[in-house]
Amino acid sequence: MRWQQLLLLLLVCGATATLFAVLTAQDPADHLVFATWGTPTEIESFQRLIDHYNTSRRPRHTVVLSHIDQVSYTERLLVRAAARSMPDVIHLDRKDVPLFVHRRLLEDLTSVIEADSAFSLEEFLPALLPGCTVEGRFYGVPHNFSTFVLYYNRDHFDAEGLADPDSTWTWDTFLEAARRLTRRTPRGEILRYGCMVYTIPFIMIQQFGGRILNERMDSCIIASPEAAAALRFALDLAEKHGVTWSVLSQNLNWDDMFAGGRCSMIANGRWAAAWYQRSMPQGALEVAPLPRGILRRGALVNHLITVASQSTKKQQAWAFTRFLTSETAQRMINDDGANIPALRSVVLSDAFLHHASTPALDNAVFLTELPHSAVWPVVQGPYLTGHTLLSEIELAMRHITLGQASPEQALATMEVNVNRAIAHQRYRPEPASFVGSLPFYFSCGLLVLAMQVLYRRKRRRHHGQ
Amino acid sequence: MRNRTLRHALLGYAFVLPNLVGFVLFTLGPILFSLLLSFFHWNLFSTPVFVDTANYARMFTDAGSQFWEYAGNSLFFLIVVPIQMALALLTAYLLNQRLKGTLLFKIIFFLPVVLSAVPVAIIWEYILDTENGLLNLALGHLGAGPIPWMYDSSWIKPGISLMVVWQGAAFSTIIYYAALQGIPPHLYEVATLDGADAWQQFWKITVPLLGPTHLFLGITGLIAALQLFAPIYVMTHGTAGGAHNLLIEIYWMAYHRFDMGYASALSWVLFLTIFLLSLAYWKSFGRRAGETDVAPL
Amino acid sequence: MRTRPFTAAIFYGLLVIVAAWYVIPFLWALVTSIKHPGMVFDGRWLPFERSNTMIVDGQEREVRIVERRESTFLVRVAGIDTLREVPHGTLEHFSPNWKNYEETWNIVPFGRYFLNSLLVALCITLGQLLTCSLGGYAFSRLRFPGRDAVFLLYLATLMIPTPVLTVPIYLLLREYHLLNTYQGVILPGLFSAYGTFLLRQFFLTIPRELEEAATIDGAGRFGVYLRIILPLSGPALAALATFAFLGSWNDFFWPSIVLTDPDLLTLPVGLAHLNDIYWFDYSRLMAGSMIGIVPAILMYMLFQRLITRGVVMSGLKG
Repeated sequence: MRWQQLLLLLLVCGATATLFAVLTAQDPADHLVFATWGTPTEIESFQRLIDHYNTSRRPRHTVVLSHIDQVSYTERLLVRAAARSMPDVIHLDRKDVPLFVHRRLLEDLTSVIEADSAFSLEEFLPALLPGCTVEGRFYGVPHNFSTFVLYYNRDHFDAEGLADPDSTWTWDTFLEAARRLTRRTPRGEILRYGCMVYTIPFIMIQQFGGRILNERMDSCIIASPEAAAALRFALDLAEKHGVTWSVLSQNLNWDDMFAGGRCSMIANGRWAAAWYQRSMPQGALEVAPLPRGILRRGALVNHLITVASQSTKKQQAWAFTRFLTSETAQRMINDDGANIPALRSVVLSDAFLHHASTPALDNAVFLTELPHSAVWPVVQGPYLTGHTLLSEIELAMRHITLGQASPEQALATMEVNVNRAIAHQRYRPEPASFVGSLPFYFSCGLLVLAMQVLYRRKRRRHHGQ
Repeated sequence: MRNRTLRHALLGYAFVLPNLVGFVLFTLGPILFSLLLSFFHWNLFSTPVFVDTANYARMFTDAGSQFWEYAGNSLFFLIVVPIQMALALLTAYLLNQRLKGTLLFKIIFFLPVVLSAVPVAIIWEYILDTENGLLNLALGHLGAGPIPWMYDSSWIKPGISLMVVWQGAAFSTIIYYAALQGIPPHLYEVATLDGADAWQQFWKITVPLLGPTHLFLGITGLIAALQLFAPIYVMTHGTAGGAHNLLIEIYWMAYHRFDMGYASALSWVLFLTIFLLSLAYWKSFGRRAGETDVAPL
Repeated sequence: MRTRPFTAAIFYGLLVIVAAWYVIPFLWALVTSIKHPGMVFDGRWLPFERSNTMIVDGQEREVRIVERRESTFLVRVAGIDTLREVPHGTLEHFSPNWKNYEETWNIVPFGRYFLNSLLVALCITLGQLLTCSLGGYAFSRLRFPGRDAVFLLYLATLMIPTPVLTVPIYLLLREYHLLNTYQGVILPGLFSAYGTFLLRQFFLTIPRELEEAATIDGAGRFGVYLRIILPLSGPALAALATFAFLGSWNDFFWPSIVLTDPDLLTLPVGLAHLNDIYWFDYSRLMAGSMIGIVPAILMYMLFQRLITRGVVMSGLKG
């Protein structure tokens, strides 16, 4: 019996040791780490870029891709920053840049850009450049972007005899069209929804004249009649007019619904175009500018390449950044078709405007939306981490749909909650003064004394038995 | 002689050293350090600042602090403890009746003890889904309206409690089953001769004799219920809404907001709550439980 | 105690009800995991697949469902103007979709998660067996100054819940750059005050005569430990091993704090990731949950005695 146990133990130890060796085999510290989010396809395309970089020249450091999942991207980066193991080059969305700059985690690239004569910001679309700056200093370079457009199913429009959407559309014309496009069975069940706009609640709020954060982005000012009107309109689409599904129906895959012909209009970014095109009948897919409210606001997703201030390999990081914004890399990004390259020479050429993956689509629409776009989904400011604003608006919309609050009340609650989160982040206590702490030290001393007395009394009682 | 005691001492320490090092590094040290830390303010990107009792003050008295709400949520989940124990006792009693074919039932009832909370939470998130969840489908057949379990702050706690009872009863069932088998059968035989029926025997013999087990399960259940994390975190994808309890708050403060001092203060308050409640439970039920001498220990 | 048939029937009935309560959620999840996309929410207990073609007049034509009725579909056949009514069976047939598992396995690196979980659990189990048995022996049999005081300290800390410990341990690991590494997850788990307590209590029950006999035969302290104590402690060691393994295999809290790199995640954290990314795709989520549950079920089937005995031992002795 005993040697069998010993054998089992040895086996287990051996297995553990091999596992350990195998699983920790990689990562020598000599690599340049590039962090990004992405679906498996997007990661593949980044990996291709990296492989190209690693093999096409004599790099002094090889680049390693670190995939952080999108849901907790900023959190993971902050955690790594706290652990002093931040990646060297970071693919970052504009909405998160103020947060990282505020914590001094991004390298100021202004001087580097000026010093590098072979690199010029003129080569990028001018509309993307303001997104790279915080208070006038450059913290990143444009890499790729996307604007939101209104995808629509032309077959449905033709069948109903509707004119195609264009830049004159307001939300009212939009609603009218959605009503005509919604199809029901004789029993009243919905066969086809007219539209889906839950992707752009904050953009709609801004179009109706509302604002989310104030100028300095340190206070939430969303509770306004304009914002309430926007929310009311968005939720009435489902509740009152029945042209879209309820915000509580969490399990509907929006893209599937649109591509499967069960929805006629959807606001989405460039990444969906190729997939829609593949899944829909020929010629059915078209794009148009987003409808306008009182103001005209598009949605811009601006992805930058940034360098971590903690990085010890800033030279190599800049070299890799230069590569990612070079014509070769930007052409590869364009070919992958998920996002729009930021380099003017690529994006203004036919390679993008009449893209191979979406031959029937007029991609210029994406560019016309650029000038008057707001950050999508919403600008977070330097104090808010995670998805505070997004989860709060979702909570607000749920409360309104469940009838637990009016739009005004829900937005007021949201404003309070967001401001609370901001206040918590900004909290900087004064060090306690010695005099003020005297009661604290005193009570600590009393506590220790009391414990001593109790212990001695217990000992005495124990010995006394 | 002195030499030998010295040798003994050295040998003892040699044996206990790996254990002791681990203890100091990962238990004793952290306890003392976290107590100390709760009097500081430190977000990892700046230097620590001594703030006296400001963290505690913020927690209890600050207008924006939702501490009391979160504490209330933590205390709500205590409700699963008696439900779990009752269900487990019933199940263990049934299993103990030596009926034929209870092996399959034993496997089913004991199995959840090895399951990780995460897949169970995912399954229950689906069951509690408003539109397509099994629970609402069943309620629909009975004529009741669909309940927005996951979305409504007042329904999310009962929903999660349901899941916790589902999985948590398994541990108690195993313990009760073993304890039941330790009760001498002649007690029941004597009672039957005296004319007591099964119901009376259950309440007058079985339940009292399980006193120490009730005590043990009550306290462990209490401690576990106040520290619910994985089910809530996974089912709500991190934004706990109405089920936001103290442990989730500690997690948020420490690893999302990086407010280390405040998180330490919260964890000590949680510890004190657990300690005081366990003490109260012990004092009120322990005396009765500890005095039976036929205890199956 | 013999039970009368009538009471037996009632008891069986109750058992079945409770068992149903346990089994139904599991079955529902299992069935959902093999349903075809688009059919996930049809509310049925068997997986069906719906085809969109039908043989009409000897020719296969495309079909679109206009309405679903009690036992028939109202459909529009391509090329025929009038609507037709066809029974359900023409378009729907029983078909489990095992591809869900294949796809879910590939979306998230489950294989890697398994290996990670296995590595962490094995290391922690071996480590705990080692440190707790050494420590337990020292506290039970060896005499050294401060022994009882230190053990009292161990007992006192058993009451402290884990949340109090996580922040300082996190900071400690951060200092030594052990965050987001295997060592970071394993090291804090190598030691367990509870395990030491359990083994000490058990060692105290081993008769001293055996040890004295061994010492007379010339064995040193370590020899006694190796040759007498360890072999006799089979049940207690097995119980501790089971606990340590299960505890770390199922642990979610600590790995989710320490590990951020997708390559290092353990199974529970990986599953939570899946839940975050694919929150809308319930069939895949259920497939993922099944993948997470099945190894535990297998382990239970193999080691049922061990597990229940371990739970009981920890419960009744604790």
